[in-house]
Amino acid sequence: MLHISSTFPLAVLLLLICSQIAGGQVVEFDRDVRPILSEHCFTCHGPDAGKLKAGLRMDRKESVFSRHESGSTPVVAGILAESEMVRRIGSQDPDEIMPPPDEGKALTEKQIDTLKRWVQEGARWTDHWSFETIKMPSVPRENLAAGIISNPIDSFVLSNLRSAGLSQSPREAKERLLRRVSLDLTGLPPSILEVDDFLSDDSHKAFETVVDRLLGSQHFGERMAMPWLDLARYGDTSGYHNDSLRDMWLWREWVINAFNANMPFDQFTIEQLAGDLLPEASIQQKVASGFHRNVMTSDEGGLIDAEYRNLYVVDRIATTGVTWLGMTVACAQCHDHKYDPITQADFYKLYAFFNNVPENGKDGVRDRNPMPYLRVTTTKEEEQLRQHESELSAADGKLAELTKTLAEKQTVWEKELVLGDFASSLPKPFAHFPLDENGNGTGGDGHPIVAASHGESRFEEGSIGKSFHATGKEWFEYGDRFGFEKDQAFSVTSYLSVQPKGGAPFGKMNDKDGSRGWDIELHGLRPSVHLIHRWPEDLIHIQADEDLPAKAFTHLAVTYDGSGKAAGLKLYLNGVLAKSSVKKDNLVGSIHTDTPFSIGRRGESSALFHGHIDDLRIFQRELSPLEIASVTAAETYKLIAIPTADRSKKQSEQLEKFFRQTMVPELAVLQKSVNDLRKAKEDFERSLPNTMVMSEMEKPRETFIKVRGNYDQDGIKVEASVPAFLPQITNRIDDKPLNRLSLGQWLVAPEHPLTARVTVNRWWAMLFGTGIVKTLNDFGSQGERPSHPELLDWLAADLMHDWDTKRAVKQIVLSATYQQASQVSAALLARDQENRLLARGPRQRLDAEFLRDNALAIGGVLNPKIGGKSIKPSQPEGTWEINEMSGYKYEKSQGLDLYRRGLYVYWRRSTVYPSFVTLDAPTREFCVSQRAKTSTPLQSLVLMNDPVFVEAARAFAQRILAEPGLDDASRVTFAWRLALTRAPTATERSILTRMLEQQQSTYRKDLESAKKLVAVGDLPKPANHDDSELAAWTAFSNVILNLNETITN
Amino acid sequence: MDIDQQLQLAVHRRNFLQNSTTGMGAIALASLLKPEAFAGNEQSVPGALKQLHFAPKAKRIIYLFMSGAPSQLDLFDPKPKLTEMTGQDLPESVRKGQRITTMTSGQKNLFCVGSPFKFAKYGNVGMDISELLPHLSKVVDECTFVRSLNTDPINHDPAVTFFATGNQQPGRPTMGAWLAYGMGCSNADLPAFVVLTSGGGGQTLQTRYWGNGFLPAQFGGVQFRNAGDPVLFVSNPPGVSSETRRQLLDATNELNQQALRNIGDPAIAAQIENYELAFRMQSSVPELTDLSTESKETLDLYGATPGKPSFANNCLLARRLAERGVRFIQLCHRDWDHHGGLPKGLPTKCKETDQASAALVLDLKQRGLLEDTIVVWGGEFGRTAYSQGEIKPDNFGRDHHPRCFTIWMAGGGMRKGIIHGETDEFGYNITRDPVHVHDLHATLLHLLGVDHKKLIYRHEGRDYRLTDVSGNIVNELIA
Repeated sequence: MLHISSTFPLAVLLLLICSQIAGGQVVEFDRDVRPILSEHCFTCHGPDAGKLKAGLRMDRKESVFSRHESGSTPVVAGILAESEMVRRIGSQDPDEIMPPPDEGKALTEKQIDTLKRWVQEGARWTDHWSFETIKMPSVPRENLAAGIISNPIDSFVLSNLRSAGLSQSPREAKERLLRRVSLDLTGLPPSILEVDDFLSDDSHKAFETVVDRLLGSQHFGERMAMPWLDLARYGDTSGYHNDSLRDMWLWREWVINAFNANMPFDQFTIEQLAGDLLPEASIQQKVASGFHRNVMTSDEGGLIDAEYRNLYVVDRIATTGVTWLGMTVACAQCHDHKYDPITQADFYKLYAFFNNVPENGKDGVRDRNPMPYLRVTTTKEEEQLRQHESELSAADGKLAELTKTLAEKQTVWEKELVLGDFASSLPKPFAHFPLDENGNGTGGDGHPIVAASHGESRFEEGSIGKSFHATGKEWFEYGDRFGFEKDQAFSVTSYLSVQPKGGAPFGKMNDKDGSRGWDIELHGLRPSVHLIHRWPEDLIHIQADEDLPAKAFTHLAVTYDGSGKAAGLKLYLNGVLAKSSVKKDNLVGSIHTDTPFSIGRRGESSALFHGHIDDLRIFQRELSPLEIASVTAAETYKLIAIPTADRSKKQSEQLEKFFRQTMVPELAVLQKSVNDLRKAKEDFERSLPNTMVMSEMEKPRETFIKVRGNYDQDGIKVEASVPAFLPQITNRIDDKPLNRLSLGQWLVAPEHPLTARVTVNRWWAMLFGTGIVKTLNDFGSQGERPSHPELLDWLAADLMHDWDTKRAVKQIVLSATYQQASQVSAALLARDQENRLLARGPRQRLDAEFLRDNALAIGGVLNPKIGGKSIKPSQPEGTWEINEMSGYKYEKSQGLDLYRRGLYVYWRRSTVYPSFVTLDAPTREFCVSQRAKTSTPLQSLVLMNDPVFVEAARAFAQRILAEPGLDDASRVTFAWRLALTRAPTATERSILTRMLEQQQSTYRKDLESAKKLVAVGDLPKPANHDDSELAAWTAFSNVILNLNETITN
Repeated sequence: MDIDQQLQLAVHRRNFLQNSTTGMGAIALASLLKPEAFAGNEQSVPGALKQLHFAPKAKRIIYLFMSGAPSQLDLFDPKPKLTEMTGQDLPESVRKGQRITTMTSGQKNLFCVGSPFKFAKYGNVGMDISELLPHLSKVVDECTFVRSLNTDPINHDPAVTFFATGNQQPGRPTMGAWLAYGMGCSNADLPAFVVLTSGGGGQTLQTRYWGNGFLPAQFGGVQFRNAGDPVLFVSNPPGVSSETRRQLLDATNELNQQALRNIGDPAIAAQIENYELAFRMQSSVPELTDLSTESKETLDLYGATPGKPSFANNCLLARRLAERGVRFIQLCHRDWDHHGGLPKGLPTKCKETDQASAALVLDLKQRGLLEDTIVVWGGEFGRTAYSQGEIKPDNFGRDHHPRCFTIWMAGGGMRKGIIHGETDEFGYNITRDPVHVHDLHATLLHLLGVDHKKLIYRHEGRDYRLTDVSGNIVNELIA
């Protein structure tokens, strides 16, 4: 089994490299030597100035070939004996040998040999391949392996295959090819009709016709968006800590639309990095700039703002680095990069581009988008919004007009009052209890009322003078006074300071006789009024809609008109009619009781009051709102006597407020209408979709190098600029600092060596499973070299002509290389397990979202709607429970939304949709350029048992059974074609038939189990279905949806 | 290699979750080269490392993570000075301008507050244990106390992420994931890294705290859930019996074998094997999680009640997982974040955890498992010497304090019955033998036979490890 070792991916390449060298090829610096230097020397002799030893930089030509202070020269071309490097790597002396033994990076014999040969052969130095300007290489015309050449891609591939002694595989069977390309370009399988069309099209353009159709499908945009969402760490939540909900789906929709409209990739880049900075930026361009707002943010209590804002900027650089440069720029946050020529200063120059967003480290919101965000509306919504605005402004105008006249009116009123007897304008009290030193009061007739005192009553600081402090143990009784009947009008007013323990401050109620009587009662801090004949049926009960403030005096008044109806019972707080709710309105019998009226409690034992009571007045009639206000304001009236100039600010305000509340009732009406309109407008605005966008602060923040990456340690100041080792921005129009727009334009400038290579390589990986450069996110010196360097440059140069995404993708799938059969012989597998040489067609398991889409599509229930808000399909209960801080509940979507594509599934970063995680989806907490593709038993459990997949199987079964005029044998064929495009082989048919018959027999015998199985999911069942038959076919479909061929492209 | 060889290979795959078509393929195949290398050799492991770096003293870890950060000053590190100075400002000479959270940085005063709980000395070493932990006080001689643990972050999310991954920001693998990757699982039918959560309220948990980071997903912690399927989707759909599932799987496998014969892709062989593993899990997981088979004595020891989710149940389940060879078992118990209401809140949390934590140590010991299992108990940081908010007779709180806090460990080659490290009289700064989180990680890996500098994974061109560029083994903690 030794040959298996050659299937190690690295080993394949090494083998190739070694055989090439051994085969007499010249050592190539960039291919053979630099990787050795990078891995074994750069840590101490590389870009990191902080770690540099002996001033020697093995990544710099001038340093490698020049004489150093020691007197020696590391490399003298062609002369081994004079090259210090050769001496040191071959030394046996532990103090001399390089790399030093304690670094643990010893060179192998083969590596030493390669370095020596390089010196011997003349030590030719070239720069790192990916930093070199992209030049269109010539297409190989000779020395190709035998095969079909559809376009230049094949020439490059065949040229390599010939060197490796391999040949192209035959073209894939049409059914399989159609399935592959449909899943690759749309994430969805072809329909039977599309299969038949393709099979019957014999023209040489047949495949191209299919590809054009797929590129024109709206699902193409969805398919292309999915990996882009991984790069953009797209999430529907903030990620950190309580993981607040946010709305970014408009940005997602923008991405889908951009791919569908075939927006050139350079524009696609610029709008996402700096759409907001484009001249006269459109709404959509601003939406696009949300790319860099989807960083994770935090609202954790206690966090230090600067620390987190720093994280957000760093994330933007890291993400930009991986997405466009294919490099780990973020390594230079704390020190110069160890392997690539990115200095710490370079990092903070990039930092300056992203440092001017008007955002906070503590994002401060948990139920909406943090600033800055942008509302995105339809024409109709804009019209509605204008309507709201004009109504509000009209009402505001009226209010302002009225307000203007008030000062004068108040002066007139004050004069009149001073002249007249304002005391007479106070309603005459029936009885008055000042509660300043005891429970005694005065009746309406002027006679004293003496209280029977119980417990040790205390009098403390009150609203007017002192107040009675009740703790549940003391009260006053007054015999049969205030024994109102239900047809008698009365009013009660008092200042109350309440506590959460609540209770009834006063009342006359018989606890033993169905609570007959009347009272005010605090349930907690919320006041109620009861007029009761018999609890709990025969009574009126109203309750305020809001709590009173705890431990502060509120003036509370109740008026009753004697009507016996709840509508006649009103509650005023601080002189203003309070919003209240009718809890019961069914008073029939008498409310009179012999229980004495009490202050501090209402009856014998229940609802003892806890709090302070002050200035209680009881009237024998229903007071008007104005009278209530007067009572409330008895103290305020006294202020009028003070000359205007002598009043304190507080006194003036109190008087003005009182005048306005009591004497200008239309003011409250107008004010209310303004408030209502404002609230309606705000509610409407909040209902409108909005999305986070980038914007620049008017005064940009200054950027400093952060010492060792510490957010709170500023070093020297830097300006926005691009890394020094890459082409610089030359077309500066003025002296203004560079901004994100300059950065975006620079990334897609013709001389930029990375963006096109990185981008086309990612698309290649999407279609072939592995990139031409395997390390999609590392094009630096530690990354893997391209398997086909010229092909990569050809594709990149070609892309840069027009940045036409669809053309670039089409070109790849039209290559004969892509269209090869994916069958692999044991010999080829042993030679090239990962298919880096491309001697066969690609074969990949579908990504998480597409696995779900595929099952729903085969089941015929996929909802093809494009774009829109995220959906919440069925998810195991409790998934969000570990992060429930803000009380978010996962509310499952309803109806057709359940069957939308996986791309739209709600992405909560702290608790990602569980089946997706199992199927290798990233959490989207950070930028990911390629998903791992693992194969695990937990994935098998998802596909076998996740209710989503079981429901898809039932849908599939229903679809099979709904097809008219089929017997079981033709149903098997129909099902197989729906899932796999092709017809089953005889062996497959016999396995399927046997299995189906088993299930039919099982579920005919066990109807109860059948009913249970077909009850999974929300999808309606057809009328008159046979449960046993449907269950058997559901089990059958479950098998098909679990097959390796079904879950693979 | 023909189809039968491939199938044979597939059947030989014995690493749960370790079959992959990218990234880890090399490892999976490597393990196939010398399957015999794993039999009866203590030094070899079924993970990426293949061979351990040292002779291991422990094989697995049970990590009892107390989410929210328990107060060391009220449980393990009493400070009479704080009692004496209650209501007086913490001297600036102690704080030395060190940063504090924005929850207390705005407070006019940072008043010292002593513990309202009684302490007594236990075990041969005379460890101070609060009256809130009566069960722990009985197993002190089995435990290793570190009073000088310290960490960098001062907020929960970054601090838990740091404890779990050695880095404050998301993206790196957690300790369990590193071990799953490097050491694999000695039981083919179970994941190497299992997570059990309990409690509610207080600080939230995130799946990132047991995530795979940049490692492939199969190395992330598998959550065993308290309700519904213990492992997601392990139960067949309603109406599908085990016999029916077997029939369906037989058909699936036969059809997949046809595909393998025809296409030759080794991923198909891997899938066939995974379906068999999945089928075995369908019976082994319910058996594993069924606590009703435990004796009454054992249930009483832990205070566990089958079917009623609790920290105690999770501790017992942790022992069952340990028995079955799971490498890293992480328990998370929530709501230790006592910014206020500490005098009432802390006793509640202790009552929920004390008995079961001590029971786990005792139970492992009596079953001979403590020898090669490390139990770790601790939060993400400590709590402050000063009060957050007003100090009242029955109510005060403590803010986050990363500069020193206490954890305890037991078993698996740790030095028993010692107290390591010391803090000043205010419990604010470390005065002797600081142990940083990286040091703790390095030490735990060392006990498992792994050199923390050599358990590495190349990602984006850089070799990463759990301890980043730090970490010193604390030899004093090792027996």
